[in-house]
Amino acid sequence: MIELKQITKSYRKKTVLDDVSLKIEGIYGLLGPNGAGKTTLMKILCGLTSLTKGDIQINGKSVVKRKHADVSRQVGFLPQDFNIYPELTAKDVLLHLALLQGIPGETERRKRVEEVLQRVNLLEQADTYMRELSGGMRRRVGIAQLLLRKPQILIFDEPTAGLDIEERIRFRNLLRELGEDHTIVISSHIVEDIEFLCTKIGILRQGSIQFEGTPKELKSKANGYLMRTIIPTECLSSWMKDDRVVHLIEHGNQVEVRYLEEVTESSSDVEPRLIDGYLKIMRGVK
Amino acid sequence: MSMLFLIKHLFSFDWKLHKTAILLPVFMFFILLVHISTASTASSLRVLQTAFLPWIAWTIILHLRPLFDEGARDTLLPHYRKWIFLDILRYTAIFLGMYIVLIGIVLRHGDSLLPIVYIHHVSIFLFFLFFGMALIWLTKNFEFALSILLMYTLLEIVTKGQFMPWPHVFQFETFEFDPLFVSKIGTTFILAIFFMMMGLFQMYRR
Repeated sequence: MIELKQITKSYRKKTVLDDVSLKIEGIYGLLGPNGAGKTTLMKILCGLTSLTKGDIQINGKSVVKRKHADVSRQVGFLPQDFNIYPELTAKDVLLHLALLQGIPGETERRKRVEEVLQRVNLLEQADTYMRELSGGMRRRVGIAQLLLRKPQILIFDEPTAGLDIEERIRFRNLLRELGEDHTIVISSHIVEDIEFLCTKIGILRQGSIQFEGTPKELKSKANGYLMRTIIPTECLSSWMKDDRVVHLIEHGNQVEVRYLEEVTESSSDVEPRLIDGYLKIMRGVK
Repeated sequence: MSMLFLIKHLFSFDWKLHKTAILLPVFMFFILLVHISTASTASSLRVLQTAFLPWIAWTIILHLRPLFDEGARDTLLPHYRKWIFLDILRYTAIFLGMYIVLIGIVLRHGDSLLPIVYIHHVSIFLFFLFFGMALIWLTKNFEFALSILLMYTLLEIVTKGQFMPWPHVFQFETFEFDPLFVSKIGTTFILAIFFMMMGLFQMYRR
């Protein structure tokens, strides 16, 4: 388990993260709007950025040394726009990184590279140039290079952003599979991905934690606030201007509109989804 | 894994990644080899400073370039940090080898040079090594860094440093001991240290 204790990060006078405390385990989803501080938090977690205050513990042991997490062996980080050495093949890139990471013996390195390529389902693309791989495939090479040194914790920043639907599903499935033997942290603003993958969720807004708990607990935040009404299709345009609306479901020439009320309604019988809980929390902190 | 194997791998990886671009200093070495074979000592020393030693800046800029490709920095930076001193050492070894051959040809007629000339060459080498490193870190762009490097070096050569409102690094006229020459070497070393600190600070800061 990773425990973040009162993490604060300031750049000059601006506080990007303010007293953030989290307990990360299983597949952990970090949700929040753009600019909430998710990427900064992830970079602090993997030692790429220093922290101003606070502590990070992995399995009960502090890993902070001189204001940054010293976790290069335990943690692997995949940035959102992973793209390295476009002029080389995936296999050449991995063999090079394997050597720099200190994996001894050429046979051993080749074996490890083959293993990780198989794990991310890219064996057939091993000799393809990085520049010729699709965005999802490049990210899978990114995962492969992380797996080379067998870290116990994997951190993904917006892993499915910008991928087409099929790639996104393939990528999500891979993350789920990796979650079986790794602690995984995923930051995203795509609530659907988090719902599919995560066993625990944290919500970050303007640098501070608004919620931490299970998906079920997050959903329950919208209990009693979610209402629905059936309207004819021609009335839809007036409803679309209402920012309470969270879902639209078409039924022939009628539309079911689901919306979030600001106060609890005892008549509410709608089962909330994860996004409803998320929106309730985001709107509740106006 | 032996260090020798690692160094061999790093050179062959440079070749795979940069292709002939990494060999430009070697091409220059062969051109200078031909030139120096027929030129006077003074002329040879001038081209050694201006047309050979500054190529180390090209080498280091080229080496660091992949860090500034979009989406590469977070992944590659820890590796570059870990190996930068070995990278500097292996490039220095190659340049030293070529330098020894060139200076050997300059001295083929039994002439000798004052130690201050060698010290000056070391200062120019270090200056361009760290100037190149600092430039790519400051501009974060291969083309910008290279343009600034090229413009600065050409301006120094063409104007023989007269144009610059600060002491220039090359020595064009005399290679004898004189206080101006000594102060130039001192300044070049100070600038090299300044750029080294700037480059390494940028590389290691989090």
